[in-house]
Amino acid sequence: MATPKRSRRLIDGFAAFWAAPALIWQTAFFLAPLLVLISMSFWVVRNYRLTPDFVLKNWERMFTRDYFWAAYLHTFELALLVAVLASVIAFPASHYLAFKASPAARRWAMFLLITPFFTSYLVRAYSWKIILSTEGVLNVVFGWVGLGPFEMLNNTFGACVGYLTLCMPLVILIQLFALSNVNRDLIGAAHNLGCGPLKTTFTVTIPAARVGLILAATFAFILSFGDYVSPAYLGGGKPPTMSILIVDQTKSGNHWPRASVVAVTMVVTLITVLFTALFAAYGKPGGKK
Amino acid sequence: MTTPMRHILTLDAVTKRFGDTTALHPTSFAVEKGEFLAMMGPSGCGKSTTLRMLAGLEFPSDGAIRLWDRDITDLPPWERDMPMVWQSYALFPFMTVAENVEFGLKQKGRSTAPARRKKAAEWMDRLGIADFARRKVDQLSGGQRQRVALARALALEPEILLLDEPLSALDAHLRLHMQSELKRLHRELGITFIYVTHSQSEAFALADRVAIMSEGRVQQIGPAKEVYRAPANRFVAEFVGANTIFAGKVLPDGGIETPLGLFRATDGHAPTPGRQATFLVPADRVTLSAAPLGVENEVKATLLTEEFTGSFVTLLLELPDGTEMKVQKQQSELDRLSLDVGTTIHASWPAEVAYVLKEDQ
Repeated sequence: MATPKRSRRLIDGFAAFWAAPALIWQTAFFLAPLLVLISMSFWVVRNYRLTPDFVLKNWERMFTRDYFWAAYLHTFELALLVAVLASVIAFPASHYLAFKASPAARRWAMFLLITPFFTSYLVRAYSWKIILSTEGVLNVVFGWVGLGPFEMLNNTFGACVGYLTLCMPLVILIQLFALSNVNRDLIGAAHNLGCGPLKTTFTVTIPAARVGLILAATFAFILSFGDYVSPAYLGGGKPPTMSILIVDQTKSGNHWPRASVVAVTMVVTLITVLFTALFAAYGKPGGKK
Repeated sequence: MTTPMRHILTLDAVTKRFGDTTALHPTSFAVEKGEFLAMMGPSGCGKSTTLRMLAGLEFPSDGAIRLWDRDITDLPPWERDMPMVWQSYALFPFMTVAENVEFGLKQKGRSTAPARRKKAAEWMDRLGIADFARRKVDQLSGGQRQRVALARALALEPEILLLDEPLSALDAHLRLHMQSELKRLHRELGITFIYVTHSQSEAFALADRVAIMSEGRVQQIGPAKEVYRAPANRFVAEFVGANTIFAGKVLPDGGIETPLGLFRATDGHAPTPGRQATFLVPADRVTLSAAPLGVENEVKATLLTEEFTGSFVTLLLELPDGTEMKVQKQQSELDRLSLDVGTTIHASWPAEVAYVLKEDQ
């Protein structure tokens, strides 16, 4: 039986009421600051004082500097590298947990994958210094077998270790959910039609879990593209990433407008990446297949 | 013993345990080349487990499976040639219809790409899905998906086709249509079909032989008519057909004394005087009358419900001791009785249709 028009409107209103807090929160603390950020990129700094204005010179200044584009490219490459690395390293673990591990083992693994979020990421990144430094735990162990010492801090390797610390648990979790939702009959059917286990993983399992796998990689990209801790404390800050550039602009000369230019560029990049990823996953952005 | 070469597939004491539960007790039977065998039973009876072991998707805990005279018990699924049609169809959603149909050929690597495409096209044509070749699977209806699943399996041109409740996701009309199509395919291809179903009508309509399974055991295996007319035990008698089951003590003269009176049953196994005997009365062999006929094997009954299913009417009667009796009649036969729910009538049957089951050990 069809619901009468009036009560249907009541139900819609009820749903909207409960949806409102989350939407208001997003508007107040994401959209509004974003608009402030965008407008600030057109302000000027006079005598170290921030002055509202509408000039394009911040944009001109940043976009014509080689160091800006070098930082942009470096950040983009690092984030892309981390997205690929995290996806590749996480996949065997996610696959094992989804298909081979017992349900009890899987629950334990999920618990352990969530616990890193209990502690501050800053602390976790810092603790890597003890392990990776020239006199650190790893190099001591390498020393015993006559290797090293290796330079593992203040370079891309150190930064990547930090990035992976940040995003690996999440990547495994998202991949695990994606793989758990793959219809087991598809895998059985592939075997049944003569496809061995390794080949099945590539021709059936990965395409079937595509959306989740892309989403996991996208998360890794987004988290590391915007991260400050890893490139600054483990990567040594040279060459700088976009996040380091922002800090540099605000620290030296209190130049918030230029920092805003960097930030807006980052936001636009991330939105573009996200839409591209969703398009690749679903066929069209935000839509269903 | 027959020569082993006659059987394409032999199960020898195949057993399957999952932890503490036994999904399949030691089971042995053989399948002949070109046969249409249906495994039928309620859910959890072990029929799907048996099929999955044939496909290599599960491995027996004990026993052996032989293809002709080759032991394939531990052969991984991708090395067997027994494509399966799945209840869920299990079509690859990220591939087109043509890619799905070609999948097995590609994996087996037996032919070149053009030969593969040609073969896939032939099967799509044969199953009437050629027009959808370039479509994604999720753009197809249930019936069309079923045909893709069939084409994908048959494109491998196997000796044995496994079917796991292939029609259960279709609506009734389509199911009947696909049923006749399966029967035609089986006849034309001459390959062996092993078919799992919980539907008696499907099993009886399609199969040369039916294996009735329950609680991890094959209760009876044989031609549908035999299973229907001469059930091996009480489970089969209750599961297939519309029988009413009576039990009682056998008198010296062979009559069977039940709470409902004395009956005679001369079909099936000979009752042993002094022992308990169980016999069944097929629903379509019962005579109904308004007044007692005064013949042997007659009971008084009350009409409980009447179910009209096309040309047949199934009546449910209640006997004086609470037993429910099923009777099937043509609508035309019933008209002269003018029955209403609650009407008292008399049911009788000749002794030679009452089938005595084998004595329980």
